[in-house]
Amino acid sequence: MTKKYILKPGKHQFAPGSHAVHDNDNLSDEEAEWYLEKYPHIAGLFVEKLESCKVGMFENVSSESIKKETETTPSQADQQEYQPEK
Amino acid sequence: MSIYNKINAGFSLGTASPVTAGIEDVIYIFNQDDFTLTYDTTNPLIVTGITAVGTASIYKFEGTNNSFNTSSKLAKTSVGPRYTEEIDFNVAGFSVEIKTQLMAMGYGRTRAIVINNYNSSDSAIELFGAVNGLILTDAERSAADETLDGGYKLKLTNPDKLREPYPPRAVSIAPTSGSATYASTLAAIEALVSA
Repeated sequence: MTKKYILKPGKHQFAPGSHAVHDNDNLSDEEAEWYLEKYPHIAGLFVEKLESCKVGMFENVSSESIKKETETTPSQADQQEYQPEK
Repeated sequence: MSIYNKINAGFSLGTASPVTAGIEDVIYIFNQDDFTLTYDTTNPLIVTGITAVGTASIYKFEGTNNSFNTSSKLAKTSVGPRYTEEIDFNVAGFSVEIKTQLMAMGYGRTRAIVINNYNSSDSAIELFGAVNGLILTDAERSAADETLDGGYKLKLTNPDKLREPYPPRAVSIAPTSGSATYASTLAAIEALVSA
């Protein structure tokens, strides 16, 4: 089971002036959701979800492969056209 | 690393840049409750993050002519060493707005970040008042004062009888990817300064 809410490295204060105790070892997802509701500013202390990054990478790969396919097909079509002339 | 009562390293002069005196003529001051801090997992002397609560900002006080200074002293107590902190600075101005800000600082509960001239150290950027905050204990203006020409001479220190448990903390904030540097820390602090 992977956690949904992952804190950035380090020991964090959630309330200003508190002892810096909050880190990934002592924060479950339910606690994280509760704290996020009470202290909205701590949203910046969590790592952004990796899923959004992976979607971006796949999009770049697919557009590059499409470009390569379109480059090869015109040359093949040209060769086929020349054959009947011979 | 637990900081406690046994030393485990020495010091020698070497090829590192020689230590130099002074701090930059700029101090970043913010209200204690406006920001939460993130500390290094193993070393409470290092602050690795500063996060605003709501729309809070850090306020920049600038001066000139190498006129700002900080000092920190160890105070011996029966329960171990404690540390006093002082920031001497000035405001080269005179207005209702300045008086308002100085009155507010006189109530305490502020924290301050200073930048040492010796910026090749890993403690180049320091945070004062990490636990107990700082209070303005001196705000003196003598209208005919020739050194300040009618500006304010100021001192921020720990509140009475409240000392810090550690020396001033090093602020070391990493960029989104990579390790922390002087430049990345400065950029992170400047990003929080009010426009």
